[in-house]
Amino acid sequence: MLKPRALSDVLSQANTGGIGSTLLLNSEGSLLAFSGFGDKDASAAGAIASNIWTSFQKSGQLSLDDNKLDCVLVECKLGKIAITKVANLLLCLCSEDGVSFGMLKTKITALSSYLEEPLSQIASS
Amino acid sequence: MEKTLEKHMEEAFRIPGVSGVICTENSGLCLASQGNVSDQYSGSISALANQAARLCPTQNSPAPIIVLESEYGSLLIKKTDNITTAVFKSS
Repeated sequence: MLKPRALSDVLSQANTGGIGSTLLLNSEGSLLAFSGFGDKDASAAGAIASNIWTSFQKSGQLSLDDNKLDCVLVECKLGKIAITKVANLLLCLCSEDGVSFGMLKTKITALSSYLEEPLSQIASS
Repeated sequence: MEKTLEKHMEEAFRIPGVSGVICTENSGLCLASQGNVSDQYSGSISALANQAARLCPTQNSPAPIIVLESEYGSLLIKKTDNITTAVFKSS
């Protein structure tokens, strides 16, 4: 079984150097696990992130005939977010504006590789 | 997660004559920078490293070190594994 505490600990490892929160969502955008500073907007952020991911995936399928979306990086006025898929779930990193896209992408890639196997086992069971 | 990278970059930045250090990942996105370096250089630096690697005579030879020199200073670029590092030196 998956230990929620251990999962939160893994997610919290990314919360350094300007990254404010790490979210694990299901495909509908519901929050499964969260680690970060101040969780008042986490559910809303998760729902928006899921919506963005679904939109881009549909767009890629329609225009490029490719549904293998790897990563979405978004730059907003007050910060940046990165979204990627892990097993059948979504992983989202929210950061402040000063964090570089390269660091954001490297962290989300590292985290998704680490979580891919255990979350795939849960998804398939 | 990024503490080791930042530590090494600070060490490199402290070397006399070094005015900036920047690291980029495979796609050319900036990982981290120190000193007087714009994040927007990262794409060009990564592209230069990739192009130079294609000029190497053998496939298995280590990635080349690129040196750009001008009257204002020099720039050294090297790719290792998935990270390309550039060091700006002022003359």
